Amino acid sequence: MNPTVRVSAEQVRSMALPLLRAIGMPPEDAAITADAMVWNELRGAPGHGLGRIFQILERSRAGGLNLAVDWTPLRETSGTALLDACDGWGVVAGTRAMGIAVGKARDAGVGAVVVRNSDVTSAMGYYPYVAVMAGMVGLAITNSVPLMPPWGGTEVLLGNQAFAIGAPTRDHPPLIFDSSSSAYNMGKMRSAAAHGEKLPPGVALDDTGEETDDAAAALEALRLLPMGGHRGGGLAIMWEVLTGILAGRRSTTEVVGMQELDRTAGVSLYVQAVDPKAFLSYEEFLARVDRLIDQIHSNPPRSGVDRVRVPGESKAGFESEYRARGVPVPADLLERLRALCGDFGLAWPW
Amino acid sequence: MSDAARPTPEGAILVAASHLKDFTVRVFRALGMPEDDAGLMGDHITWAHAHGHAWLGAPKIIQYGTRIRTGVSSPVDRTDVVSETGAFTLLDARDAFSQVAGVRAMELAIRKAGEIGAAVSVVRNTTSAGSLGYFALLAAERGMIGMANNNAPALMPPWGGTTKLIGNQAFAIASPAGRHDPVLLDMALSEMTLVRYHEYEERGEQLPEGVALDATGRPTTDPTEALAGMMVPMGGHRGYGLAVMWEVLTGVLSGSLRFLDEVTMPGVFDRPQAVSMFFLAINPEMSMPYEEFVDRVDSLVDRMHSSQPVPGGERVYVPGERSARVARERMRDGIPMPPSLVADLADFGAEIGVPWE
Repeated sequence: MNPTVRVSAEQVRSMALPLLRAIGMPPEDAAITADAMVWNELRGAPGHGLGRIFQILERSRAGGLNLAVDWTPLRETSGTALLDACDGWGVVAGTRAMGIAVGKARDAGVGAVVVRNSDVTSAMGYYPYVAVMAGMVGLAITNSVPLMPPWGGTEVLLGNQAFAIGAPTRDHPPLIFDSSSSAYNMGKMRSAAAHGEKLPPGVALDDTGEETDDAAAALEALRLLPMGGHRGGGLAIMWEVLTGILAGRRSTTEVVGMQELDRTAGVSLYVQAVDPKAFLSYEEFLARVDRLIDQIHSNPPRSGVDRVRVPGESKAGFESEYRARGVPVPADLLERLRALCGDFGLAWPW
Repeated sequence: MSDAARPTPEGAILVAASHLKDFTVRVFRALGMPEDDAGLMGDHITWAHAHGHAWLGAPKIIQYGTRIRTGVSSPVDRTDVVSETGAFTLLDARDAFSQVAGVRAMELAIRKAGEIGAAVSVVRNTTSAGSLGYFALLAAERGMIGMANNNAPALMPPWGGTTKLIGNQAFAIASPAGRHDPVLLDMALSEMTLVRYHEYEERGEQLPEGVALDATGRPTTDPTEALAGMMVPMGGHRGYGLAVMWEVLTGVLSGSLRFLDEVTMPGVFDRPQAVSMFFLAINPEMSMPYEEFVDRVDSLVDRMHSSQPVPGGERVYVPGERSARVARERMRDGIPMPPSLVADLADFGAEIGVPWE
């Protein structure tokens, strides 16, 4: 087991920000990226945290990622915008897109922004969270490197099409639903393979196109099945319409994975903010979301379940613990970050 | 799967689509509905039945008609605009049917999206939506991406819970295409719908694993227990999470007095249903010329079609493709209905002085 060191949110940020600046991100983009890393580390999603600094470094050096992006929208109406991310970091693209959507929604009630030519988008839940912090309901959808065949097919054509929806609350942590459109995400698949676990039905095809319960064979073939069978398969296609098709650049098999360091990803996003204040008083809206959560919490759990949760609640549990006790960061990652600071001639921040 | 994909049952009567629509219009006219609105009821019910949602088609004439006769739903559309901004409208249907109020709401979203690029309408105090696909397609037929959601009466427990709290939240998303039919996803968030439980029960068959819970929240394969019990969300916790967020967009956002398990079934005639609906229209011209957009949708459809099918599979379809094909056949050749349904419709018509023939 890799030993970990408890690090405060401020310390995470103090490591990320100067390194991102040193790699070449403009100040505002570096701040956006660092904030999202802190959020993900706090919520028990380290895959979207500090480790991404190395990915940004490698991808930008190899030519797959552009750090100098002009974020002025290509087209705009009072309720919508089209943004060209020019191969810039997906977190900056998604956060800026949601920021624009929130601004539009403040005036029009609803704002929708489509992004083309983005790098990988990292954790989708962060974008609705940006809307939630502005007191709005947020929705974000992305396409990705193909991982799923269309329902009934065997050729991998669709990404696992992650999407997230969030709503603000008063007494509870925000509601944040964050999901891929596949039955299993890649992390869960790798974990099953590593532990030699059999996959449940409906998760993956092998390389002959037959369904398999062998996680290693499934990882090898990389043909994920959609959540809920044909329903999730249908959703994955509609998400492609709202992202790759509507954004007007690359779609389906033209999208490239983050492992190909020297190739631009060509990801698209659709983000939308809805301002509840356009509908009813903000206090009333928050009270109603809280009531929804309370009613779910009071549902008697089935045996083996400690209590019934709402979307985002498990991650909010990490957040309250990690804010109090610090985020567990693997010691070897800290060492690599320390070495990277050395390479850039930066002092270790703490 | 819709009933459209099933063989026509022995002894079914083929009813001309135009006849079903005409009968529906006459029924609702007789029950006090203005002609245009009765036309919308006829359109919706015929569309649903032709597209393979038989349980949302002709049988609803009797149920909705009974709602008017008991006074619980209004034959007259009294829908009010409660508030609006450039890109959104909140409407109170005041117990008018979703088939009428919902169309009005989607039309407003389409009009506003034409001006501003993307727009939302939310409706409160209406009835079960019927076929959500019908509403989403209204947008696609006008060159927009459309989405329609409603909050259904409680049919599922929250994930990990044991009592019914949340609807299976049917919703639909449609996109216009060029050469191809519009792509139309029309689905519920449960692994299986009520009508399927009934079918298994009638055939005396057991349900597959993982699609139903009994009344205490334990998994069951017995369709009778399932009918007395609860549905399972599609894709497990993912489908549940989505159901919660759809409730936020409908029941919570609409400001309705009731949401979650306070929404009642359409067959409960002693109180309004208090359903809420959410409509979204997106104008693809926010991003590119319309012709370019539909060309891109066509290529997406072609790309899906070109995928090698799974071993033993026929070919790959895109959402809505099969039901559109069946609907075309049924609009042309007639809609198969069991004789008992036709008899029920005729009886109901006779009660209110509307002959079936």
